[in-house]
Amino acid sequence: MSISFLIISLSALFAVPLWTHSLYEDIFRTEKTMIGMDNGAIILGRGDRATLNFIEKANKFISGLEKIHHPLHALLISGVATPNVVSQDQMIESLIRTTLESTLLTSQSMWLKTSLEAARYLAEFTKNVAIEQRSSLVPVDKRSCSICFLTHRLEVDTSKSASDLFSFEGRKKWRMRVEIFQKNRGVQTAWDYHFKDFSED
Amino acid sequence: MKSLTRNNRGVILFEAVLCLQLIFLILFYCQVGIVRMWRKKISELQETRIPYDGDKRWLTSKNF
Repeated sequence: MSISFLIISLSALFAVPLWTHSLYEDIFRTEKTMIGMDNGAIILGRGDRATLNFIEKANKFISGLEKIHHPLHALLISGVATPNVVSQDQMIESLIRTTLESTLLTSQSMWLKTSLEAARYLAEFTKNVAIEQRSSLVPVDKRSCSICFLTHRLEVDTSKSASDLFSFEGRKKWRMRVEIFQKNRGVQTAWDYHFKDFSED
Repeated sequence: MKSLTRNNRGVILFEAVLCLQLIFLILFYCQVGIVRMWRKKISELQETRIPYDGDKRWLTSKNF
């Protein structure tokens, strides 16, 4: 074996640290993307859970007010109401309207804050990521009472409450859905989140 | 038979083996340094992970 052949074959050995470096660089980038996506999804899930639980609490408060409002309203319709009853009825109605509007505005700002926070977090971790299928408005519909026809409840539209996170790194594509669902704990209901993974190779 | 250290060929062979050992040593330290550096960076990255506090059933589901 000539010495030149030995030197040439050994020169390949110098590439080993470089190869290791690039290999670890790829692993690190992939890990960073995955952690960024997980964290972003958790931030979305936590924020949405807080928003929807806030709406749930407001709905409970309004349903409590309605229990007082309905007898007063019934008196008003029957025509036997005193001026005192009329003023009380109007006061409760305005309280319900104000609570509903303030809940809607607060939940809207909470929903947007969650979106922005998750987007900021994702941008910190990785470039190739996007939040898809997320509505810009908080997914609620106003429901009217069948007795007094007053808007009394914010109903969450679960078909619009899910958010998708999409990312790609090399040939690998990740898609993760954050789903918000209602949990029943006896009489009490609360919102919680979980993920669904649609990643593909 | 002449000793290897007494002729030129022997000296060259000895120096080549010494250089080779030195190269292997440097490469080994480079490799170890690079691996250590990346492992440290990855473990630091893992610390930024936010703990999942959503529905626990999901962790044992097939969707994971």
